[in-house]
Amino acid sequence: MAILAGGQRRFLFEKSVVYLFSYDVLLEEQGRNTGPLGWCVTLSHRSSAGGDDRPDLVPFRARAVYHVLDDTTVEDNDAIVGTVGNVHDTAVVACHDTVAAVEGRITIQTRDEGALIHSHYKGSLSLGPLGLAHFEPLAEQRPERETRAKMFIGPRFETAHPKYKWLAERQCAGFGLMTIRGGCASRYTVDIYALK
Amino acid sequence: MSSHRRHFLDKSLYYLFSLDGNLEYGREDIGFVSGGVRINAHSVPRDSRAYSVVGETRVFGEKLVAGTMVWGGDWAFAREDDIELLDVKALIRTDDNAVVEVEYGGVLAAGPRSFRQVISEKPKFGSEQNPLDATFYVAPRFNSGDPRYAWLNGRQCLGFGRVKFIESLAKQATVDFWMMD
Repeated sequence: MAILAGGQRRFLFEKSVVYLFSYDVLLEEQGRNTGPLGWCVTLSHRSSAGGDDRPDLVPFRARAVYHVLDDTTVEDNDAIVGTVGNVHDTAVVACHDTVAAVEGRITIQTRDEGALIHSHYKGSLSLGPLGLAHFEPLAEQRPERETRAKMFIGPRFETAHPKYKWLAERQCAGFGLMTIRGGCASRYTVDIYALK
Repeated sequence: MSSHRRHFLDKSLYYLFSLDGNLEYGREDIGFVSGGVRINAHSVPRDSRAYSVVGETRVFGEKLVAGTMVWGGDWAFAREDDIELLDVKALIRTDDNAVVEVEYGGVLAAGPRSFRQVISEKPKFGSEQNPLDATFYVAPRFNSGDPRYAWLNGRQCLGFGRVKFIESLAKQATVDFWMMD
């Protein structure tokens, strides 16, 4: 197929995605700042001890990496199951009334071989009509108020472990949901897909 | 221990526009660097176009990008494991005279032994008669100071594209951009 022959394309390319794994993270705010790029909040993971693990709302396992359907394989590979090691420097910068930019780093450790898988990703947070009011300080709203924002990321993964080399060869997409409680980002859950 | 989530989150994608790039403007073979080969490819100014494949001009009531790519380049890194990492920046001047910046990274898999073929140039892949079409996947974001296109700012998108190789050189690329929502 000559790609550009004959002028503009009149058909869309296939846009398949393959589900890989999901993960849940409890968040802790490390600080807020207003810099040249706008308003920003820096987040990191926190342990579940004494935290906001509320299975009554949505089944949620802090730091778990799992397959939603508990499948043991993904395409020809073992499914990725394990724990989230670290989440750092996830920042939210307001760049539009209803959208914020996200940049983050995450480390995953697999349960089977203890392989460490790293990703540095960018993405966006869809704030909807509430906008930055999601993050209004606690004093200005009911502390128990809980809002949610869709999170979208475009990660690629890196690992030195040969068993998971296949993952490092894929461009991935993450569809997530961030929960903001009392004006503070408290957790998110993400489904990771590979583009195919 | 509580159970994990048993349902998938919504993963809607909305088509935005497509971008065709003519990559024959210039190529800089930086050569071997740690872990692979760096190759810079630049698009021909004003010979590359953004358009809607399906002829739409708006999505969610917002204006879609259509116009000419005035500048663009890919600072690609071909890894020894036959994976090429893309690092693309481009500027589109829309038909209504706004400027939209496109920036993305992504992955191109040109096939088994493609890295060896790139460095040895034997055999070269793709010919004028039978070009090699390789698939690539990207995660773009857009930026514009023009209020008509500000709705795109910061939104995470995905791209599904093809690139045409002739004599082991990337000649033309075309990609569909989808917004995650």
